[in-house]
Amino acid sequence: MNGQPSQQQPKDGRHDDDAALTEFLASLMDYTPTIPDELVEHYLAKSGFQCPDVRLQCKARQSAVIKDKRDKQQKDKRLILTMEDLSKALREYGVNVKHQEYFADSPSAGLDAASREE
Amino acid sequence: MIGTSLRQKQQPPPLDVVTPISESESEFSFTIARVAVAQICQSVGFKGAQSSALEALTDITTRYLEAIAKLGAAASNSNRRTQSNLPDIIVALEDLASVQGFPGSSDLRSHSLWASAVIKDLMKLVNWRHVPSWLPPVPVVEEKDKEAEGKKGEVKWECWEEREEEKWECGRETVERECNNENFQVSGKRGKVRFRMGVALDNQVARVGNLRVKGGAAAGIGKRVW
Repeated sequence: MNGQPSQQQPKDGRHDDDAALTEFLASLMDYTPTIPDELVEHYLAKSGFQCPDVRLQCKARQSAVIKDKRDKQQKDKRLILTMEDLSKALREYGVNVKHQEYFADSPSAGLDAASREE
Repeated sequence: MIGTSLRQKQQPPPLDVVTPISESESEFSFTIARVAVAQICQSVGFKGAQSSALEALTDITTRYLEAIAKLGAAASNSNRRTQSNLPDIIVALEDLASVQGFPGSSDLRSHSLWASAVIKDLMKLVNWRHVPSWLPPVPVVEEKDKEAEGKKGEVKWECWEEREEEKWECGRETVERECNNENFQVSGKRGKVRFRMGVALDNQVARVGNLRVKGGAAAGIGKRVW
């Protein structure tokens, strides 16, 4: 009836992907993400997510944070996370973080900041 | 360990910056999340952070987690389910990644979710490589020094099964190198021969892999029969 010979070829590929994913998930049991499980569970429960195990989320979260950090520019030898780099990197992800440059509490405040481009 | 801004010359940096008592539960979890984010920063290579930047990043972390949760729950609810499962999560991750874009987003979900680029990125990040089961195990010999990259980035192992623990530490660098080299395909059944039951490494505490043992004997770890 539904012969679908065209599905035979992608089926092998899909099976391989499926097997890959299965093994990957099994290997996740060994991998301890930096974000603790309880913390992840707390935030998931807060948003109404019900799931017996939460391994993939911690990993996803950690990977997103890492990717975000990798975008940071390297200014000097010691790498310090600054607001400017952070806001530049976050703009790629659609997050607009504006950090106030100075507090206008004195006439000379912000004069140095205004000279550089932000 | 974590510090607000290491540019200041202070005497002993406090082990834990957060001394004030958290007033609410959300503050408490935010504090813990900040610690985790700071640790991730450190693992990527940052030596310090502005406190406002760290707070902003932590805020984004918590919001991202909540976004995954909301989208995953919404995906499962759209399919008459209350418990979310793996495809829901993948759908959620794809939604979140669609802002920046990923390969395959033009025909989203028209073919298999398992082949999603989002998952592949995750796998790459965990330095995990999949060996298709139909490939024969290739015994290779590894060299210790890093400049011996060899032909097409082929790295060699020696006595992989016996020196598992110490290989794991130095294997990280080689794995990262290999993952950058896309030509590298065959690697031997590395993922399956791992014996990490009850082994605690120094900075990476391995979970006791008892759960995996019952899946199969030594040869069949991680391999399910459908």
